[in-house]
Amino acid sequence: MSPSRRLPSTLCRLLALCCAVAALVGCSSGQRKQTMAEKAQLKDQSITEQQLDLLSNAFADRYYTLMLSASERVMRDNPDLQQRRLMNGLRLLSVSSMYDIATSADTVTQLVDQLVVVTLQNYFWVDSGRSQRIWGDRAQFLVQNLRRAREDIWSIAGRVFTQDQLNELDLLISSWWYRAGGTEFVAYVRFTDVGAERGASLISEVKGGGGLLEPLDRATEQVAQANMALQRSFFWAKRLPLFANWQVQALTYDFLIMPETQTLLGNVNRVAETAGNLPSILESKGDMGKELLTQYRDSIQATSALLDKVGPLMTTVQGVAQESGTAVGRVNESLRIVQAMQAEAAKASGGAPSKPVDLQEYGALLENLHKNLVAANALLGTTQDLTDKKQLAERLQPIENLIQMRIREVQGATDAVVGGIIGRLAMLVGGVMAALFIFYLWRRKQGT
Amino acid sequence: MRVVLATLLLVSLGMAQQAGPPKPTKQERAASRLQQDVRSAETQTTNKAAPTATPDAEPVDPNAVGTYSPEISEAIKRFPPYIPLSPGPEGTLRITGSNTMAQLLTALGDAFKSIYPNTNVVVKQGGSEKGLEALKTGQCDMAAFSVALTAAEVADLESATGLKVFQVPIALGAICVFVNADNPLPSITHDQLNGIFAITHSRTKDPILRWNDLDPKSPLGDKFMSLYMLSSSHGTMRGFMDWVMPGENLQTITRYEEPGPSSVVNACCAYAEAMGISGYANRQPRARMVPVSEGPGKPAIEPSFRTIRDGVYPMTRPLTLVFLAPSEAQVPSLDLEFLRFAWSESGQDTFATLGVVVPDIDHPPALLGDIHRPHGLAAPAAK
Repeated sequence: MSPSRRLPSTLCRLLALCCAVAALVGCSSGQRKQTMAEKAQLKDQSITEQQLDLLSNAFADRYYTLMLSASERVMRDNPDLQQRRLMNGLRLLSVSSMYDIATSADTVTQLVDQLVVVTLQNYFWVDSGRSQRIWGDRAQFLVQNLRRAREDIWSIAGRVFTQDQLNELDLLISSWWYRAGGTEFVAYVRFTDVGAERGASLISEVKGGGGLLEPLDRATEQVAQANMALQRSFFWAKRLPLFANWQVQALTYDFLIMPETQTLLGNVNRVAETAGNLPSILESKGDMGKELLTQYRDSIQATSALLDKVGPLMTTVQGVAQESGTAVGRVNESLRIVQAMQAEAAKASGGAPSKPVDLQEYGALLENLHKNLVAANALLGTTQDLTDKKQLAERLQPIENLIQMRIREVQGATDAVVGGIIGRLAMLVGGVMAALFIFYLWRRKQGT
Repeated sequence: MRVVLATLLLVSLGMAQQAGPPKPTKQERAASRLQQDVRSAETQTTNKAAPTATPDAEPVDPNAVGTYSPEISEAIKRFPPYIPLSPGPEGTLRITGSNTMAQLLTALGDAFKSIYPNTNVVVKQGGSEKGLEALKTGQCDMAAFSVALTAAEVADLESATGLKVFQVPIALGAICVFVNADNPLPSITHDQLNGIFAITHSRTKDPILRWNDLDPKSPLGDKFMSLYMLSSSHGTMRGFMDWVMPGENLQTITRYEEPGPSSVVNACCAYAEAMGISGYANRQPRARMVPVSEGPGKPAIEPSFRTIRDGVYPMTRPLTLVFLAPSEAQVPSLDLEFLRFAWSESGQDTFATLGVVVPDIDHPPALLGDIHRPHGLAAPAAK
């Protein structure tokens, strides 16, 4: 390399170094001065971003188990279809929201988002008495578990934020709640909604070392984030089947609660009653029998017409499922990127492109939802006395079984996909290493 | 190899961005649908008064936060309407201290800023004592204090700063004993509170640890009481300890220290065996404020707008703003105008919405002069 070419390169490096130093000085001058004692104390208590990421994921799992156990207690043997439906809707939204947060890119934002959602949920569901108004005595499990979640997440926050920062977070959240009128549904409220400008600067402050989180230099942070993003995509993919179950149940409940379905159930009962008594009625009533037969036919036709009406409604419900299934879409998107990455890597290593990741399994999820609804419709159409609430749970058991079967299928497919990705990545690394080794041998041979 | 690694890194970073928090509009819509269903279910339950619903299911409590009884409306109407100054004050007012007051001051600051856009009110919470410390070191312009300052504290502040201490009460509050809404505990006495909370329980022979120690008929039986409270640096706990257990320390067996007053009440809403100490403004439908008696044979008083305003409830307290100035004539204009706003109909309306009790209009702070006379204040000094 000639000196004339080396000079600009050296200058560039020096300039970059100066910029980095200036940036560091600029950043540090904006921060509050800390005493040595404070710094030492913070160092003792501090945790790394990776540890925080693990804590955040662990909290999402903990939140899932808390919601699962609370919802099971509310829903088990509960004859009230509306109560079961609302509970299922709540757990579906809340847990998917929590996982949505746990898979977001920035760890500190994850934590404050979890903090916001759980605290606001306590305002909405626990303090107000709303849970008791909807679920009565059964709500006790839910309110206790939501409170436990609040204790857990504030305890985690205590490992990242100083006491002053925690006070500030508490005030930001409660101020937002009162400004919003204290009635907003809160599963999808995020810290950016609550914290505004001060919230953003608080996160920057903590990430810059103004809290208990160990600061990272920019390069290390980028590599760490890339690593965590990959882990998050697997974390999310592994947990996807959890929601499939609840999603299917939500659709089933939505379907059952529709006025058209209720009318249909009523007509089915009338048809069944009429059919059971028809022979004796016809025998005893003579001419009246013909009239009753006409009524019976009318009733069947009305039922048939209602069934025709329910068909498009089910399509609407499926549309809702697809609409709210963005989580599925995001996993697919992540996996497509991994797939593209593999193809690129295979090209770079000179090998044949690997078999693309089969995403059909995920696509099959929505297909399964539709199948379940069709099966539910068939069961409803042939079931008598469904309005008797005591028997409703029993009658719905075959649907539950069907759902469980579908879930197991999706679980298996997900495991296969995720396992396949890891296997292919391992093969890819092995291939690259082998190519490098062959190249090394070839160079050595050329040299000799 | 570099190409492969670079590709891996770039694609992974792309994924990180992809995995970032998108605007979940579709999920928000799903949440909105569920919210409608929840409201509808609540309405139905309230209408048919389901047997499973709890006694507080009817949202008609005249003492509920955000609910105005005619009595509250009448009290607010007696305050003068706020007439803005022209030109108005400018600058930033920093207030630090009481968690109980932080919410009120944030709301008041927002309302003040809407009148004077060139002002900014920055509120920080952390407890009354923290506010005092910040005031002493010049880190704030006003300290929010939820108990009265002692003479020693005033003297200490004045000697440390060389300035005069001004205390202006802006609202009234009370320290309340909270239990779960399903807990039928009828009342509690001064002595019983000492037996529950003081480690040396000077007013009772034995410590009170279990629910049936307190009330033999309690459905909670021999379950231990879980005590939820703030740290003793908060004005709420200072006021409580001064009244219940002067010179004694808090018991430590079943005590849980909470990050804020709303968290204390939240614990009482969630746990049947909880008892908490928090402010009147933090009350919630699922937590019940227990009537308190000053001693045997004396009536148990329930905290309410009237009993707090009349000073009948034992643990009534003024919510005060404390600040420093060389003299009364040199109080900064921004501070003075903020206080004048707090003592107006608009200011008190903001407070009442957030659940505190309006102060006695017949006894306004002398510093504000005749609050019914617009612009009747002495020419304030520039900040």
